[in-house]
Amino acid sequence: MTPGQPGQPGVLLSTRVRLLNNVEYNNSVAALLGDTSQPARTFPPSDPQSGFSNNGAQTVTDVNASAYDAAAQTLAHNAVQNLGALLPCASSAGQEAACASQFISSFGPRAFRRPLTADDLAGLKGVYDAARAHGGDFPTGIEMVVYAVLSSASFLYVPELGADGPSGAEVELGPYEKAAALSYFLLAAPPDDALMAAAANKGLDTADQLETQARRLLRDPRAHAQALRFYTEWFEIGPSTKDTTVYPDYRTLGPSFLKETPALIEDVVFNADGRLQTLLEANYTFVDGALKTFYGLPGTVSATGLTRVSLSGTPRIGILTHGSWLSRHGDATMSSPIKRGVFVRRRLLCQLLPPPPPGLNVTPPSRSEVKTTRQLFDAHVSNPNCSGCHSLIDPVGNGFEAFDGEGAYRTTENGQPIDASSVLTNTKDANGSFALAPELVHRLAQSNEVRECFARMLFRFGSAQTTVLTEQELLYEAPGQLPDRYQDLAVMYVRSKLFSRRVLP
Amino acid sequence: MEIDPRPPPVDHARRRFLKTLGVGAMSLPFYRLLASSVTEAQTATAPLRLVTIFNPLGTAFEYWRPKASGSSFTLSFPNSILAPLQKYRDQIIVLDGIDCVPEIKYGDFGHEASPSVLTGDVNKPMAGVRPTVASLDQFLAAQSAIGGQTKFRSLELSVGGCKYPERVMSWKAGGVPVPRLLNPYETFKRVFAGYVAPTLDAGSGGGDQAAIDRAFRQRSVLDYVTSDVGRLKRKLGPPELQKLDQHLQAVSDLENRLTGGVLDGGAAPPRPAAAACAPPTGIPDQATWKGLYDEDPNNRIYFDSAKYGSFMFDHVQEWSDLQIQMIAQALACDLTRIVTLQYFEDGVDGGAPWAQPAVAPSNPWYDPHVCTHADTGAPGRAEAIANYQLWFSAQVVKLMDALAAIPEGNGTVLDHTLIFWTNENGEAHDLANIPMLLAGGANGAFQMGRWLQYPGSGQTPHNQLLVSMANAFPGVSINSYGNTATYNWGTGGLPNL
Repeated sequence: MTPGQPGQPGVLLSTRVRLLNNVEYNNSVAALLGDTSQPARTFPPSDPQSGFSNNGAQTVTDVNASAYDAAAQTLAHNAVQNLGALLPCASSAGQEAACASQFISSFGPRAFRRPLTADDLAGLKGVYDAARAHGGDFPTGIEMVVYAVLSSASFLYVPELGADGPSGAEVELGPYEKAAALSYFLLAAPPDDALMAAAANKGLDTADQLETQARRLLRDPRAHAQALRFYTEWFEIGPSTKDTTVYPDYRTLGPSFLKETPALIEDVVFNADGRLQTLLEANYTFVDGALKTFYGLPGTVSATGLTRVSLSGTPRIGILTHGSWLSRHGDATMSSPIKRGVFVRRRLLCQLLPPPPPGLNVTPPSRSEVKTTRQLFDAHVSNPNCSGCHSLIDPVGNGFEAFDGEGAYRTTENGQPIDASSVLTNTKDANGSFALAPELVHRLAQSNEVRECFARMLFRFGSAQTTVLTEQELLYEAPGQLPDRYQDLAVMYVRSKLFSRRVLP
Repeated sequence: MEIDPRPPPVDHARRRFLKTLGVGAMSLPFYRLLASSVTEAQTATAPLRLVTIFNPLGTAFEYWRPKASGSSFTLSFPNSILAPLQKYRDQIIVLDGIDCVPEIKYGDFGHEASPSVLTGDVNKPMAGVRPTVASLDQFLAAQSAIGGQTKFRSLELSVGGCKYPERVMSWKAGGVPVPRLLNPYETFKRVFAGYVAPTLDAGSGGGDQAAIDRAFRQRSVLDYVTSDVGRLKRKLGPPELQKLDQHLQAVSDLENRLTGGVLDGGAAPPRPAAAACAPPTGIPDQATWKGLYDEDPNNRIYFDSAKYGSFMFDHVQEWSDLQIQMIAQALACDLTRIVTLQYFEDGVDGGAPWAQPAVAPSNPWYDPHVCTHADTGAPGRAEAIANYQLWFSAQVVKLMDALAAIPEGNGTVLDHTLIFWTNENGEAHDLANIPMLLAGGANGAFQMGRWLQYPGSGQTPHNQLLVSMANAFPGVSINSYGNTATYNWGTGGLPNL
């Protein structure tokens, strides 16, 4: 029995409880209370795993606990300001206790995304009773119930427990667990009524049923934001630190960068063919006035929003030549063949780079001796201590040297001509020489290794965990050609037993 | 436990009551775990505190290392990084030649040292490997006789940084980074908002029935939360159970903070807070500070790039001053005893005009990060690094000044504090010979005023220093620190310390 071979045991994720991340928290209180104040914006940032904010190992620290508590108190206080909208019953005199119980029975299952147990009912009723016994009026009693529900583990965690059994046994997730897992994966939001009804009526038992629900959810507007979150976290798109004494125009360009890339992702995934290859090789993009000038594009653009423009005849193609990606993978004052090369190896090819050898004496070259960034880092490749890793990293990163630290196109640096030609090595199917970034991008876009990595990354995002053996198992789900559409990969994962089964520890 | 029935000789020996002043149960000090009597409180020595300070980007030894001066040493010489500490020369130990050995042997190099600093464990972010053991500050915070004595077991503060939530010093066991408070106003709110210093009261009983009711209601909610977490603890593996246990601990601490002061006696703080305990006022509000950072759609915080170079450059000193002021008062008021303060984070890049306004962007040494990557012998490199590191040295002195200005017992809070100042890198772009320094009276745990030289070059694991620092606390006696199940970094404390 060899782990990692198709269908072998030992590759499933273990039973676990996963904490909602900050986006999921916001969406959950919005769905539950109609409160769109996004309280998690003040929470500590999610601790990433593999660069994704979905992290199954996320833990409640002291600061998190205070933040949850403060948010729950505020949300509960605001919720009872309009008691009529919150309660399923009238709280006339003599009926208060009964109405409180009724409220718990209706509110609790929506918050916990499952039917309540007797323990839940008794515990929450106890909270109400304690509030009434200690000077609280009826609204205060309800407020305390809401406060308790929002503070509770049953709300804050998505359980993946299945049924009990012997250690090592595989268990199927319960129907409500599947409903929550599905909805948080595709929408970052709790299950809607239809999904809860499916859970209650054996509607999530088979792969086909799960696919039907998944395809329905993927048409929900909230699926767009979730796909965007996956791609931006995968491609590490976000604000970057630039020294504006070196790049003064970054102040205006930075915000424009962060509009362009989401617009392309949205267009490719939900309007065009949805393929990764298209995202990498798109010969069009979406610009405002600042970007049009920065990219040196002809024509006129909308004064207010973004305009779709062709990139034909420019040195740019696809997401890897966007200012957003190039600047985020540049240093504050210069470009970075290292960051760009590491990205391609780790994020696009899913390759593990070995750490530097023990006892390495690092003596990089002095900046004053060289003219170009590429020359600066050439010592990495010529020094045998460094070349083990840097011969993998730098030649790839050098392919983007025609773009400076904030992503501006250049043909010279400090008076020296730019050399962005290089050779891609150590891949399964994309090796070869290239002259400029578009040729490198083309090699990557055609690669099955990159397509496999896409599937691995979506799995890491969806499962909130990085487990290489388990990822490998997912690839066996499509032994021929893996899909390279976001929606199809998501469905492939949902249909697999990696989604719906766990192993008991 | 009996209260001494004799008439109290001094005012503060009378029973203390905590006034709620209309802020509800939210903010009451937490004295629930206290077992000490008023009499004990009067005679108790001020507790030992630990403040760990970390800053990025290494050093230049010719300007960091003290110069021998007769049988002693001096820090006053041209380009000296430690020059501001000369006035405290008798209250510091310069630790020369200590290595972050776990990182040297197994780390990813580059810029991820902070997770190893207080854990003494291996951190390989490129391979997804994180420290497994708790950092020293969290270890001490978890001790009921240390962290358990104060409202906050520990505080984790930052000036700058937070681009990478995992590039931090403070870790819970199992590879959980502890978030840092970045915004000074958030620090103020968390630590001091609604804080009411224990006051003398002739015996009004502190009878705010509304506050007591609120506390009871809140306790019932948190008791429910505790039982609900417990119900999830079913068939789960050790990492998952540890996660839920950490959650339970956090809820328990929260409950103590929020309701303990009202419902569990609320009397008799363990000892008088330092006479000069004076919670800060007038911290600029969030609107002023939120320009320092921005949140992306995924709730990760970055510097606001649009402000980089203007607002941030103009406010870094103020930012640092505020965090230091709040650390000093949090210690003086005994709201916590364990603090970490991180400046920026590993591998921060860009210029630092607040620290070195005379260095122009056209200067090849403008960016301190570029300096660290350059050949150690390159002309001008050492001076540029010294110029940058000097600023951090001045901040350490500001903290010492602030603590020395607060009388406590027969001395000052500085006498009862151990400051550990460390760095991301050594001289080259690596983790051998990390410049480290201990400061403060440390309740006499160490003989200060020394310059201790060790072999360095990977031979002196800083794990031994962590052992010595831990054992400086009464009741703590350990023989090794770090992931001792997997690695052997030697046993015992740091020789000669």
